[in-house]
Amino acid sequence: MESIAARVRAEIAADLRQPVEQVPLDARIDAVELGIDSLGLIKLSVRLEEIFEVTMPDLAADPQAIGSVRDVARLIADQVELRGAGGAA
Amino acid sequence: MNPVARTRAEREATQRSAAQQREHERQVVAAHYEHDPEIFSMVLDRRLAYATGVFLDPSEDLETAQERKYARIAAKLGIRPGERVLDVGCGWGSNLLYLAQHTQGIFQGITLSRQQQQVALARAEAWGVADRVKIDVCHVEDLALAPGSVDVVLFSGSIVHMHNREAVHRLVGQILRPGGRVLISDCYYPVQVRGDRESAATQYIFVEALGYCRLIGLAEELALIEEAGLDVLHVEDLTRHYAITLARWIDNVRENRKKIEAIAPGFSALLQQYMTVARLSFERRTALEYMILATKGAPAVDPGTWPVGQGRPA
Repeated sequence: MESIAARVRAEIAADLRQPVEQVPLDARIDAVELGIDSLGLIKLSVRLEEIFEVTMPDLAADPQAIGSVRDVARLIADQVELRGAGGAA
Repeated sequence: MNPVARTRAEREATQRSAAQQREHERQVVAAHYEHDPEIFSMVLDRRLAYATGVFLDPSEDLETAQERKYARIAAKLGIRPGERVLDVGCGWGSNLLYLAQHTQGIFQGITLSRQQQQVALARAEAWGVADRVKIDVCHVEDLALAPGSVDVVLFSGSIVHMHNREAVHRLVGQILRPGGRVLISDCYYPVQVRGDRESAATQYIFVEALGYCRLIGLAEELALIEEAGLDVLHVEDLTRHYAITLARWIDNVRENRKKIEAIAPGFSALLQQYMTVARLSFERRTALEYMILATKGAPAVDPGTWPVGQGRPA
């Protein structure tokens, strides 16, 4: 989970051309706080899908429902874990 | 009939001369469709319709929905033996070849993409209809067809790429013979502005992903059709169907991401991103999808006789 969260933060920071410290784990990922527009959220989702081989919900459709950077990381971690469990079975 | 430009793409187009814009479309619109057809075959239905299907139920598969759309277009056009059909922006031949296989019409398709032309011609050959099918790489405004020489003109997901709508409709009005029909299936803006048409997402889909798109209002398109001397027969809203179609395409991009990346690095992300923008637009109805049918003179088909969907609408 920590490494996933770190990668998610790094990806967002790169998008925003900001140091990672400017992307706190508790920051909401919707536009107001971090300044990501809807296209930015769509691109972020797709990139996270590529990196982690998961299926993301629509961050742009309802960013409120996703919440914080940490929530996004947890969502990915859950899928990665599920896949790991499935693979081991 | 040229209201204030709605998007940056449209504003830039109005700065070009008609000839420059035509050349611009030739270059930038073709670029997207020049990608390896193998990629599109992983994402679209087997006939490669790059346009909405018609779903009776949201759980239906893409093939079924696209087959229904082909059949619906065929019913609306009612092509009789020997009739001449022009498909403007025929893509890889999805509608054109379906119609060639299901009627005895004579078909000419035009596209700006040589890749699409080659696929369409190869399929015409494979499916045994090559003797009635001709596909040219040609811009619609460069078509030199005699007045009254065509019975049917089809635009499926293509007129949105054409900036000079007045000229396009005038051309259609001239080349159709009495009894002729034109069918357009494409994307429109609601008159009341919804959503941000100056957003990065709009610019991304209209320019970066698809080269050039110009969405106008439905009523504007209908007025241009009428000014060209045609009568509007039927209009239907397919917006919700396009949202489902796009969701299916996005799932297919996900499923084939690695294979697409091996052919064209970065293209799977571009597809998924622009398709997501489009899907959200249709879901929120900030953009609308309509299928329009108009005739030159009295219609020979009667919408009252068309079968309506069984079951709940999708």
